[in-house]
Amino acid sequence: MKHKMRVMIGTGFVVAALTVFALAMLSQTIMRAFR
Amino acid sequence: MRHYFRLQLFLYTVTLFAAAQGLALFVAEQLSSIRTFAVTPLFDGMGVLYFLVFFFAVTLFFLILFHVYRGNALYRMVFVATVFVGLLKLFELVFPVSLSAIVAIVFILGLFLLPVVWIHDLIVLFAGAGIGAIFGLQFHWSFAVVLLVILSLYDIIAVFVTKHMIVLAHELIKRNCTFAFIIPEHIRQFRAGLMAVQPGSGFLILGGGDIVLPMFLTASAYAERPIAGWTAIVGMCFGVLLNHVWLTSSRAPLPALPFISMGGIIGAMLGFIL
Repeated sequence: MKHKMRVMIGTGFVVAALTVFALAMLSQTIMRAFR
Repeated sequence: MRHYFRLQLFLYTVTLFAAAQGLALFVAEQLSSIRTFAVTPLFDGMGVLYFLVFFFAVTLFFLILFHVYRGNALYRMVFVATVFVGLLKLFELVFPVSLSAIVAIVFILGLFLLPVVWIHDLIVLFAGAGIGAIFGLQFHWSFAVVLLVILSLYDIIAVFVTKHMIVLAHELIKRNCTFAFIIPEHIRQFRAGLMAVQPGSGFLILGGGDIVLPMFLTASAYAERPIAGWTAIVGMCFGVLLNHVWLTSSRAPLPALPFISMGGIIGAMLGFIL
């Protein structure tokens, strides 16, 4: 159970960081294209 | 005993390698549109010299440290610091510095909570692209070529003659703080714990230098002519293929940089000519 929690939180952290970065990158690219 | 070409292992290696180089080009593109890099004399001819002095000093420092300090904490700290700087530089492209630091810390915390191969490789990929592109944009591509030729020769000597590169790699692998791609033979092994990765455990280790140093050429060639950056990556992938053929026939630690550099230099040249 404890291991499962660690896996979930660890994966969550990495996926969250990646998603935020990807979204920010995407929005920046779109904004630059319209500028 | 005959050894066979391992297609799956090669595909994972080339995918990770190409993804890292591609991301470095993306970072280089973003960076050059944000600010203009003035190639000062310090970062040109002298820059190569300074870089080489720094590179050899760091190697020497670690070789001495392995004899003096047997613990893990210090090596782990150096690994985390390197990864943090790389991620910080990458995330700074889109976030303010403070937010960039938070996202980098969250990413690294993920590795601490779940120390498995795929997270390690992902972190090395992102941090490597950040470091490689920033350094690469400081050089003119011709100096990146000189640097790669010198370091390829050094790699051959360090692996086959002095063998200190193997000592360095083994010590860092044993301590689970190697800045390198850890590539398993089967996809499910990407979920393996980092503790399972030990010298001789069947994982292929592509050193951080073999990933980051070629980025100097891809990023600088891209800054000169974008197509040359892409053709350099294609050439490097051929280099990875040659390494793989060599590796599967010898099964011993090999210097990866010479073939990757050779492929990259030929690829970049073709890109400039075409």
